[in-house]
Amino acid sequence: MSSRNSSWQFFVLLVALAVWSLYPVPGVAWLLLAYSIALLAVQLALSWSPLGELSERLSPKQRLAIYLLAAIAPAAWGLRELAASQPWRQWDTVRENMRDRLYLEQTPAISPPLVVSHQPQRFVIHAPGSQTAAVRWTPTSEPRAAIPLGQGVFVLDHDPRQVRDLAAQPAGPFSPALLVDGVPHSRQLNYRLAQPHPRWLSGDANLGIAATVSEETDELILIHSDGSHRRLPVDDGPTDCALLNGGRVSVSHRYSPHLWIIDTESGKTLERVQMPAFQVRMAVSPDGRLLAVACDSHPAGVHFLDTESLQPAGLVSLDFSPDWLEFGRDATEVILTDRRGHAIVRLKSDDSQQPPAPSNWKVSGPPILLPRPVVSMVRPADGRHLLLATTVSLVRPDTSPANHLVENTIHQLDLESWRIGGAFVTDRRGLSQDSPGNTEHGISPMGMAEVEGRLLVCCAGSNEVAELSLADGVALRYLPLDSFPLFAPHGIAGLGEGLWCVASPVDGTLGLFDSDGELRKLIRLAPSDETLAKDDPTSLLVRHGERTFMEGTRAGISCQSCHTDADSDYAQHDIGQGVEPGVLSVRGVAGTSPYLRDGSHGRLRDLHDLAETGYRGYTREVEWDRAQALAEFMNSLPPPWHARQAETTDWDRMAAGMAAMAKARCTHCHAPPAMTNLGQHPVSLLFPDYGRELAADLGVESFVDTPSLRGLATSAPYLHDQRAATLHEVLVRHNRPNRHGNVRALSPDELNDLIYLLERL
Amino acid sequence: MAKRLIPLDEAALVAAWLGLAAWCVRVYVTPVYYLDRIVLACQISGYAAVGFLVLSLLVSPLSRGAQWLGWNVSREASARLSRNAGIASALAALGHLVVVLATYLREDWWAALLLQYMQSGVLAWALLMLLLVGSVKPLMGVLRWQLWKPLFRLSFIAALLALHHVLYAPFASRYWAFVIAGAAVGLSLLRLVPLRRVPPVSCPPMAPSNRQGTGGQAASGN
Repeated sequence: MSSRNSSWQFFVLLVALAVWSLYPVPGVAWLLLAYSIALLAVQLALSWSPLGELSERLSPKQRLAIYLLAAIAPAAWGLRELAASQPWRQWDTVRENMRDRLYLEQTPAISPPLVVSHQPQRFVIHAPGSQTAAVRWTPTSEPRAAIPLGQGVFVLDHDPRQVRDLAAQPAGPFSPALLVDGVPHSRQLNYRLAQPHPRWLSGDANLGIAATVSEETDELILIHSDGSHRRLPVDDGPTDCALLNGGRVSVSHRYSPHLWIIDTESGKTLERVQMPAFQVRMAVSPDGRLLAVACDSHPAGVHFLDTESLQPAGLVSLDFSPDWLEFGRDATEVILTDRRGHAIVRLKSDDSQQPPAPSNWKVSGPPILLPRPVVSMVRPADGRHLLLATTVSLVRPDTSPANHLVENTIHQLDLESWRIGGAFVTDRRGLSQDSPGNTEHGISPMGMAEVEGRLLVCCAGSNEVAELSLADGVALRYLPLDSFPLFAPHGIAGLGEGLWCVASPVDGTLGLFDSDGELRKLIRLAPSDETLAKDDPTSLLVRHGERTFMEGTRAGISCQSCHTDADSDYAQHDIGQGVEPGVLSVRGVAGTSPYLRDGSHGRLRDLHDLAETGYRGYTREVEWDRAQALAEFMNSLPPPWHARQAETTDWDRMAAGMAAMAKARCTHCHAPPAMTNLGQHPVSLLFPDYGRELAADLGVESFVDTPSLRGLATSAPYLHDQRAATLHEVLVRHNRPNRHGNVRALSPDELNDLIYLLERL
Repeated sequence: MAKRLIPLDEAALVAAWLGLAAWCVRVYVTPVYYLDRIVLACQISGYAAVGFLVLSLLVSPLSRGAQWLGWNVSREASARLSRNAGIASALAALGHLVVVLATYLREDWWAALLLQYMQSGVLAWALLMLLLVGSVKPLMGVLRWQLWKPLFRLSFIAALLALHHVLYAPFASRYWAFVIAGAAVGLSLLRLVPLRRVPPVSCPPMAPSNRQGTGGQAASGN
């Protein structure tokens, strides 16, 4: 009887495999369905056909022979389909999904599951029914108390510069203790040690010096034309540096409310100028007398300082977050870019005093609107125009609906006529293409510099420095950097006598080249790949992932093309589905599978499929698994620490906001601590007034993934098609049916408290 | 022993419907936010379906374990309990589907076929409906199916699909799903306990088992 049962089950399994292989994309659920169908089919066959009686008359050996003969074809077919469907990938997807969900649901829980060494972080702890919560980062460190917000939610701000508990912690998983009402609970987090990342360079050909900063490691690096360099510690989160007259360099900071002035000769800090934190970029006027500092603080704006007295003249307020800035034709004209609004704005002053009073700076002329934001901006020596790198050559305000449209372009902004006067598309094919239409040169133009009449452009995606004609953008020469550890170059600056310097944030290196393109000196700020492989393999994997993120595909597109600086270009892109969802930031995605707007990608590494299939892969051969490395890199990016979080926080109001959040039932889906339950929900249920239209526009097939609310203050515009400019619009104007949170249950004060909380998560 | 079990298994069937009815009353008399209703509705009906299914699958190994411990549990009684719990599970699953279509997927019923976890739920529901039909004796006669007992092994497939469904359902607890699934798998190992073939002295000799003809006596793969 046992033998008969076994052979009968074996036969059912064979039929099940055959049925399973018929399905185009066989999955685990379909395997179960196929088994069910096979079981029923065999039942029917045995009940209604003579097969059953025949089966009874056959000997076991005869039956086995028949089964084996019948098994050959479906087994071969099934095995082939099994391999094609990558069942291990499906299991791995389930494993990753369940790991993330269990991590968040096993209270007390803490999010994000990542601690970094280079920036402040806000952790949310969920411990329902608890009165106190604290984190003890290491067994020997003091517990750090979290602030209760009610509803079992606590907030802990961690600044690695202030709290040195993790100073000796190696990169990788570690297990801090969550102390909830005094009871320790061990939770596993990942610790990431940042490597030096020199990005943008400022150069002075007269002095023969260039300077850059590494925001991750809080240092200023000075490079001299003789190849020597000096690393100087500066304040918290240096973002930019500008060479001033008198052999001085100013350093702006993201997390410190000071602007540092340093003597380039002695390396001494001459002055610390009080200024709001979140200084993002600086520019020096052509006459060297005025320093402009763009601040992405609240309120955002530009500070002007006389370079001699270093007294700030006050803030020129802006209604957008400034990104790049450069002086125009003279010290009375400043050009700013707005990444979110894709705009270029001109400020002019009619005040002859230096610096002009803030009230004398006015927005001059209409903003120039582009479909995509400006990636970088430089002022050539003539001062009549600016060069702007973008990802589309069109000059019109609306986003183009074209499929996969990325055109690596440098625009010429004519300051006299205040219009885009020309555009060089830098994408070029090459002599080593292995399939039609490969883009080999000019991918992701970043830093630009005019060096002795030549325009040198760092192309991060194609890993080269391109020499272009200043007049018409014709490519004169390409200097590939593949043979140096200078991958994905960003900043470039001239040092005089034909020398120029290039910075690679990915590899943590600087290269000093002569006018013939020969490498004079390679300056390593970060350990080499070989050293990392021995000492810190996790950081090496992250570096490989960052390279993959920057590397251009055969289609001339890289992750960086749309996720500018691992964030977002705040544009809508059609990535092949005929729909245009807004680009999401890559920061803070760790532990929030599945991914994308519709939750269609179960693992971070699956996002690499787009590069391999949609963009035809890469031309370079590498020794590492690009998908795994890319996932590791994205997992190493924490949610941004932004100006709202840095303000003095009214914790009572935060608690009131948390109570309002619970009252409006936001926490059903935006559940603490990640502020998402990682679920997908019917869009028509949440937005019955425009859900169907939204689903059709976005191609999300009726479901949308619940986004995390972390870093919300920096991710406007909101909702999946970016229809809401503010959080108030999300909650009120675009929530008329009251389905996306019970906002009608909130009083105006409670609504304001809720927005106050959301802006600081 | 068998007599004492009869009220229990029938109570299981009644409890499924009483639970759902209680929920209906609660929903329609309590003015709560629509999302609260949806979450509660989906959770109660879904958990009822899963709970009865687990009970149905575990009756047989539990009775074996009880026999091993020396308690006399009749096979007929455990089969009845398993069958009734299976019927209760199928009915609760039917209620769950109705509730979901009337609330969570009210705007778009076809959305039930779009996400994998919903597909798993639909498949599990379809299998339970098939087994429900198979539990009605007149229908079994009409269909002339001979291997009803092996066919009821589909309930294991339904349980796996239900587990997949629960693991991905946005308002379900993954933690408890794993705990219950783990406990169920652990208890299922009691199936390996050898069946005590020696009847008690007071019982008549056990009739030889009819492999193909148990028709609906067991609602799960006993």
